[in-house]
Amino acid sequence: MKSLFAAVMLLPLAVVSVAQSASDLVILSKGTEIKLRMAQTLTSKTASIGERIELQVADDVVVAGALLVPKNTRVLGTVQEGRASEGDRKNPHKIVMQVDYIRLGDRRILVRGTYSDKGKIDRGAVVASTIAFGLTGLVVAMESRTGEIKEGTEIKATVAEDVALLPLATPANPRQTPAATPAAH
Amino acid sequence: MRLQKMLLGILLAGCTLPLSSQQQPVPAVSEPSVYMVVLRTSAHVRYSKPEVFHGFANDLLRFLKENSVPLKVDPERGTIETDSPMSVESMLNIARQIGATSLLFVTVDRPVTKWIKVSVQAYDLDRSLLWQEDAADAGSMTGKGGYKKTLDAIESRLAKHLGDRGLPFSREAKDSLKGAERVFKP
Repeated sequence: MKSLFAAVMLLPLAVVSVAQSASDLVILSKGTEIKLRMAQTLTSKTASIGERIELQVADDVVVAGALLVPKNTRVLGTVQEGRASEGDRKNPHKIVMQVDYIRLGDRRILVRGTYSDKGKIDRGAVVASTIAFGLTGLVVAMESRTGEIKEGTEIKATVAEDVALLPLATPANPRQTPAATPAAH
Repeated sequence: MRLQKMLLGILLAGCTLPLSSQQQPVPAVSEPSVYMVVLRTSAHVRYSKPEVFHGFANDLLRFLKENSVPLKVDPERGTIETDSPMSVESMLNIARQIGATSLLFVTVDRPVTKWIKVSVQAYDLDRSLLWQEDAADAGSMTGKGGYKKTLDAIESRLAKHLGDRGLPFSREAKDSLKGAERVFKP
């Protein structure tokens, strides 16, 4: 009976703590644009379909003065077009990747964004090198026809659904947890 | 009694709800741990097979595990074994976010004049290169022989660093080793 009484007495406290946390939450709305940056180089010569790729959040994501996603947070994506498999030696000249989600602690924030790059095919250059250097020149020119997305390339993605997040910092309380901010470059 | 249990259940649910909905910061670093990334060069892609690359990565992982090196596994991608170039800074960023204290960056190459060439670099989180070891083989009659010689060579070089920065022992291994001399397992 005593523990029942204690439980009843504690109930309002728990409700208050839930309400307080809920009031601290800030909504990162669907459609919010987030600038990302490639954290690795992708080329059509090496990337194969289904391969996971690394990106990073390029700038702090701040909503209503509250820091929700710090710069350099990991973002994961997938290769959509490229080599059919790892052992495939064909160079598809084109690479397409899709951005999947931001990994914030244990959470995944779904984002949408695609980026594609077609190999730069400069026919004039191919002809010129073929004339000047024969077969070797042609090989070199063909190798330059590679789809490539370089590390550091910036990509815009949008948040796929509304997400409620606890701010990592607010104007009144800057940077509550220094460890939460991945080290700057 | 049933009502009492229900109330306690509600209380517990109320207390855990905010925890599960909030984002977790970077994991706290408790003891030294290593995050390993294995990169395959474009020359290896051109002149060798993916099986050789993954085989070497697996053999190195086995060596580290057998020698009680605490490896940190990325929950998203496990140990990255990739053909796509990635800067040390990007790898360190992942290492920091999964709570590792150092990075082991392995490059598997296939120069024209060698069967296989392997380079292992250890970095701390401040991007300082702690040490580097290389091994390669050109003299073997077959690629399989070159692979074996290179693996043996890199393992014996890595053994020099076991227990030091970049290749620490796990806490359990340290405890069991007190007073005993360490013999590395090839």
